[in-house]
Amino acid sequence: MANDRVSLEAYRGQILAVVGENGAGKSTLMNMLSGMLHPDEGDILLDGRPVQFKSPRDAIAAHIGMVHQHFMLIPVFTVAENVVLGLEPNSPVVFNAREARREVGSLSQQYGLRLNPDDKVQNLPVGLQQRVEILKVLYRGSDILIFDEPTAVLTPQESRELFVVLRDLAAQGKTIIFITHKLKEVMAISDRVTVLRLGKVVGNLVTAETNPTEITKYMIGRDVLPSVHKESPNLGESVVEVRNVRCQSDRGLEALGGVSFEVRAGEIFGVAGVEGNGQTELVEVLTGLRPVSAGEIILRTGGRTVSIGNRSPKQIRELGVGYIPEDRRDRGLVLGYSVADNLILGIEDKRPFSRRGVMVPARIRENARKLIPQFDIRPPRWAVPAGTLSGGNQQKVVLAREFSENPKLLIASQPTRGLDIGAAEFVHKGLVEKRDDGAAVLLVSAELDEVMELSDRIAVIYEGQIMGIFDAGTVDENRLGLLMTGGDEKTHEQAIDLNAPALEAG
Amino acid sequence: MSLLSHYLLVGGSFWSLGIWNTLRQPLLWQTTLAFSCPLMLAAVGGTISERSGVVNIAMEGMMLVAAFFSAYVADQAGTAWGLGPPEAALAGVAGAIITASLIAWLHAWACIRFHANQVVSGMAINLLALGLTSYLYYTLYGSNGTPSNLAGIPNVHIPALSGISFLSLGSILFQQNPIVYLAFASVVLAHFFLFHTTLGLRIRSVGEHPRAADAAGINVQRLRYLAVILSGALSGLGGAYLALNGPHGLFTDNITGGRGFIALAAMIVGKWTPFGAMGACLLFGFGQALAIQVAGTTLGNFQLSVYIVNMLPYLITIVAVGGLIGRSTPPAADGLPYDPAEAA
Amino acid sequence: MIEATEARPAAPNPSPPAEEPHRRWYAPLGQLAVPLGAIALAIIIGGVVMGVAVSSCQGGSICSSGLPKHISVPLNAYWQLLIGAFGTPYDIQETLVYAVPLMFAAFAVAFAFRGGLFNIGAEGQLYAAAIASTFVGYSLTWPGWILLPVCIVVGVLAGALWALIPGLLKAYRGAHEVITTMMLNYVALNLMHFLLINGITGTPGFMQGPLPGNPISKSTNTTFPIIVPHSWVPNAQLNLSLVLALICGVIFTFLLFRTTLGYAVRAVGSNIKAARYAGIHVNRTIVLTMLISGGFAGLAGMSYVFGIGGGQMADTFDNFTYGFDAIAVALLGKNTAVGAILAAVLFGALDHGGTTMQATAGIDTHIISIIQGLIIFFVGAEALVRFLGGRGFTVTRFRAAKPETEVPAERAAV
Repeated sequence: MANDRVSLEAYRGQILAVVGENGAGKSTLMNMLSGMLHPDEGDILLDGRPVQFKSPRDAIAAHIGMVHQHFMLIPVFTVAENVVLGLEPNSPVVFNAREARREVGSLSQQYGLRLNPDDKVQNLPVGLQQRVEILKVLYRGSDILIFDEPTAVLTPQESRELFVVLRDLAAQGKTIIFITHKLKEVMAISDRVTVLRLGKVVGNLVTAETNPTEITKYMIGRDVLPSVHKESPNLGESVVEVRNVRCQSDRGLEALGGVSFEVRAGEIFGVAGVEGNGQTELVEVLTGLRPVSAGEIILRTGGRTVSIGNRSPKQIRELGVGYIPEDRRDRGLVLGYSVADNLILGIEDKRPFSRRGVMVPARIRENARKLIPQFDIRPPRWAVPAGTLSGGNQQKVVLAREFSENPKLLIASQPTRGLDIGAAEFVHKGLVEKRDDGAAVLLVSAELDEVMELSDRIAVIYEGQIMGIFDAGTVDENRLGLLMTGGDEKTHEQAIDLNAPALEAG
Repeated sequence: MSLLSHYLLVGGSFWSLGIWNTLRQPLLWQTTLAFSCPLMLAAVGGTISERSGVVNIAMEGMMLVAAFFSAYVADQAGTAWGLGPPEAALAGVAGAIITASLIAWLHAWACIRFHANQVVSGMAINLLALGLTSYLYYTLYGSNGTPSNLAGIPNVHIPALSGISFLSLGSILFQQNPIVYLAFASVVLAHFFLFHTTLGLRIRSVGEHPRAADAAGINVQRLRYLAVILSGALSGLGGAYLALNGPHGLFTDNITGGRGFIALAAMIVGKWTPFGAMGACLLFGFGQALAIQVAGTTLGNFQLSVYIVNMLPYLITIVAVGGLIGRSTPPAADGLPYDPAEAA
Repeated sequence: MIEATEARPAAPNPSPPAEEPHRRWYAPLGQLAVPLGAIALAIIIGGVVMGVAVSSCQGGSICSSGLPKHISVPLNAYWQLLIGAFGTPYDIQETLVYAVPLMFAAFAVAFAFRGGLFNIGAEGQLYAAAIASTFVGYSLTWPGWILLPVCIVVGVLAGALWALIPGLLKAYRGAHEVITTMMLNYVALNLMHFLLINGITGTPGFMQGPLPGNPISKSTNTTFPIIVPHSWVPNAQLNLSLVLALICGVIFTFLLFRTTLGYAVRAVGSNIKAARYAGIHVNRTIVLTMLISGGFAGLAGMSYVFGIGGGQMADTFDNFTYGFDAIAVALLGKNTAVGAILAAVLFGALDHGGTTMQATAGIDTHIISIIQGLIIFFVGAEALVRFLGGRGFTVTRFRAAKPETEVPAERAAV
C-alpha cells in the first residue's frame, strides 16, 4: 500500500510543502489528487466539499493542475501545441493554430514565463520545458497547482527563478502544493509542511515554527542526518587522464567540447552538473559506448599505459574499468535474467564462469552465493529474476558485480538515483571503501550534496566544458551552483537572488 | 530527397539497358497507378494506425478478407438480392470495408485491451485471413471460382480531361478506376487529418507520448481504436479494389500476394507520412508495372523469365527499407502498449 | 542542447517486493496454461466456423447420433481428425513425418525470438536450402554416407546465407527484419519456380527433372533412410530426419543456455542497452542470431526434400505453411526446444489428420489453417486467454521482468 489513510490540508494563497524520502508515498498521493490514480479509501475535499476524480479530466475540471517531475510533454510538438492539447481553442474540427499561439503567447506574458509558442519543446532547455508544464496548468485555469520535485532538474539559479514564479502565483491567490525531499527548499519557500513517511502522514508543521533538523526527524525517524565518514585520501598516481576530448551527442551536436582532467588512485573525483550538460556522454566515452571525435583518454593500470578512446566496452572493461550505470534497469541489468546471471554480466565469457564458450552453471551459482550475503542482496536467492528486486537491491547487484572485479578505475554515474536513504548509504560506503582500497573513483552526480560529501576533488561540467576543478572544502555550494550555469555573472539573476541568505542558513 | 535519387537510379539504369522505349508506353504508367492504388490505401491506413502508436502488420490480412467479402457480397447482391451491377459492386465495396474494419477492431481489441504483442497479433491475423478466405473460397466456390459475371467497378473516363494527348497524360491520369482517385484523395485527406485537425493532433500525441496525452485528459484507448479501425477501412477499400476492379470482379486464392507487406514497407520508407507513403507506393507500383511490361521480352541476348521479373518489386522493397533511406524514426510510442496503471 | 531527463522514477515501494516466483515443483506447469487455453479456444472457434459453414454432417457415426448439425459437424470433424492423426501406426508415423520440418523451422523462429528478432523468413530460408541441397545432391555422385551429411551441411549453410542479408540490414541499418525476411520469402519462392519451371516457353528449368513440363527437380543421389521397419508399417515414410531434429533440439537448448553465445543472444533479446554496456557486440550477435536461425530453417527445407520429398524438390511446397506455422509452433512451445517439438507434433497431427478429415467428413482442409491462425492469435494475446479463462489462471502483476519465454516486446520500427 503506497498511501495509508493520508490526510493533508492546503490553504489558498499559501505554499504547502510535502516532504518525505523516496518511496514515502508522495507521488502516489499527488497522482490521486490529479486524477491519474484512484484512491481506495478516503475523500478529497475541495473548499470543504468532497470530490471524486475518475480521470485527469475531472481533476482538471476541478481546477487542480499537476506539474509533473517527469515532463508530460510531446517533444516534437511546439510549446503552443503542448499547452493547448486536449483543450484546443476554437477548434471543433480544424486545429486553430493561430488562436492557440495567440492565447499561449499572452498567457506566457501575463505570468512572466517568457516562452515562445512556436518553439519545439525538444529544443528547449529543461528549465523552460518546465515552464511549459506550468503554462499548461495555468491555461486550464488551475487554482491549485501541484509540483512534483520541480527542482530535480534545475540549477540553483533556475530553482530560484522558479521560486519567484511560485511566490507570484501564490500572491495571485493560487494554492501551491510542492513535493520535495530537499529541506533547503522547504525552508526557503513554503508556508506549511506535511511530512510523509512510509505512506503515512507523520507531521503537519508550520514552516516558520520549525527547522530542518526537526523535519528530518519526522522524515526518517532518526535524529541525525547520516553522513559518510571519510579519511583523507591516500593518493597514488594518475589512473586515467582525459586530454582535450571532444565527442558528439546522439543528435550530432557537440556534447563535449575539449574536456581535460585526471583521476588518481585513491581519490574520489566528483563531476557536478545539471543533467544534460555532457556528463552522460563523458561517461559513455570513458566506457567505450561512444566514439571520441578528438583528444585522447589515457589509462594507466597494471603497469601499462593504454589509450582507451574509441575502444570497445569489452576491451575497456578488461583493462580494469568498472562502471555503475546511471540507469540500472536500462543499462546495468538484464531484468529477465536471474540475479546470478546478472552478477556475471560482462564477464560471462571469462573463467571460471565459462570455458571456451560453454558456461559452467556451478561456478556461476557459487559466485552468486558468495556475493549475495556480502552485499546484503534481498531476497537472497540467486535464481530470482532481477526485475523482481527493489531498486536498492538491484543497485546492490550492480555494485556487487562491478566491485567483485576489483577495478582500478570505477565510474559511478548517478549511483543513488531512486534509492532510499539506507540503500544510498550503502552505495556511498562502498564507493569510499573502493577509494580506500586504492581505486580511482569517478563520481558523476546531479545531486550536489552527494558530490560535495563524497568527493576529494570536484569538477563542474557545463555545456560540455569543465568550468573548474577544486579541492573539496575549498568551494561552497553557491560557487558550484554558479559554475553549473556557466559562471557568467548575469547580474539580473543575482538581483533575483532573494533567497540566497535563506538557502545558506538551511 | 533520396526517393528522388532512387527514381533517377532506376530510370537511369533501365535507359542504359536500352529499354527506354518501354518507358514511353502509356500502359506502363497506367499500370503503375493501378498497382499503386491498393498499396496507397493500405499504407495510408497503416500510417494513421502507427501514428497513434499501434503497429499494424495485419494490412495484408485485412485486405485479403476484404477482397473476398467484396466478391462474396457483390455476388450475393447480384443474385440473392437482385441488385444490378453498379449497386451490387457498391454493396461489395461496403461489405469489404465493414469486414476489414471488424478485423481491425479485433486487432485493436487484442492489442489495446489485452496488451497483446502487436506484431504477433498482426501476423496471426494475416494467417487467419489466409486460412479463412481460402477455406470459404473453396467451400463456397469450389473449383469453379467466383462467377464470371460478378459485378465489378470499371474504369471511368473523365470527360474532356481524358482527351489530353500531351505525353498521353489524358489516358494515363484520367481514365483510371474510381477507386484510384479515392486512393489519391485519401492521401490528401489523411495528411490534412493528421496535421491540421484537432483530432489528428491528439492522435499524434497519443502515438508520441501516451502518458502526456492521458494527463491532458485525452482518451488514449479510444483514439487508438479509432485509428486502427480507420486503417482497417482503408485497407478494406484496397481489398475491394483488388477483387472488383474492371468490368467484372474476380477473387482468387491469396489474391493479395504480399501487397500488404509492401504497403508496410512503403509506410516506413515514407517516414510515416501520407505523402511519403504515396511516393513510396508509386515507386513500388512502378516496379510491379515494369515487371509485367518487361516479362518475356528480350534483354540483350536472353529472355527474362516472368519469375525473375516478379522478384523485382520485392528486391526493390528490400533495398528501400535497408539501404537508401537511412534510418527513419517511427512515432516515439509506436508498438508499446499503454498501461495507465503503471506508476508515474 | 539540454534535453528533458527521462529517468525512471523510483517505484513507490516502501516494503520489500511481494512477488516471488514459486519454487514449487508444479510451478512450470503454470506455463502450460496459456498454450493449452489458446488451443482450446482455437478448437472451439474452429468448430463454430465449421458448424455454420458446412451444410450437412457426413462420414461418421457421430453424424447419425441425433445431435443438431451445428454440434455434430464439428464433433464429427474433430473425431475424424483425431483418428486420422493417431488411428493407426501408419498414421502416427505420418503425423511425425509432417511434424519434423516444422520442428526445424520452429527452432529457427524460436531462436530468433530469443534474440529479440522476428524471423518471418523461415519459409524463404528453407526454400533456399532445398534448392542448394538438392543441387548438390544430384550433382555429386558420392556414396550416401558421405553425401547425406554433406547435403545436410549445405542445407544449413544455404539457410543461414538466406538469413544473412536481413541480419546484416537489421544490425547495421536498423531495417526491420519482418519486412526484409518476408520479401526474401517471395524472392526465394520465385527463384524456386524459376529453377524448376523457368517460365519461358520452350526452356526447361535449370534444375528440372527429366520429364519436361513437370515441375519436379532431378533426383538426388541419396535420401534419408527410413527408420520404421517395413514389417511394422509397410509404407512408412518416417526417416532419420526425426533423429536429426531431436538432436537439433538438444543443440538448440545447449546453444541458448549453456554457451556464452546463447547468453549474449538472450541478453540482446532482453535488453540491448544492458548487453551493449556489458561489452557484448550487439551487432555481431544480431547477425549470428539470424545466421543460426536461418541454419535451423535450412534444415527444414533440406529434410523435406531428402525425406518426404523422396529426393526430389517439387513445385508443391505448400503456400507458406511451414514457415508461418513455425511461428505458431514456436510461440506455443514458449520458445523452448521441448515445447517446439510437442507443438510441432500437434500441428503435424492437425495437418495429417486434416487430410483424413477432408476425405471422410468432407471439410475443406483450410479450416486447419484457421485453427492454426487462431492459436497464434490467442498465444499472442495471452492476457485475453487469461481473461476468458477466469480466475483459474494466476496473473503476474509486475511488468518489470520480461520473461524470455514470451515474444520479445518489440519496439517495432514497423
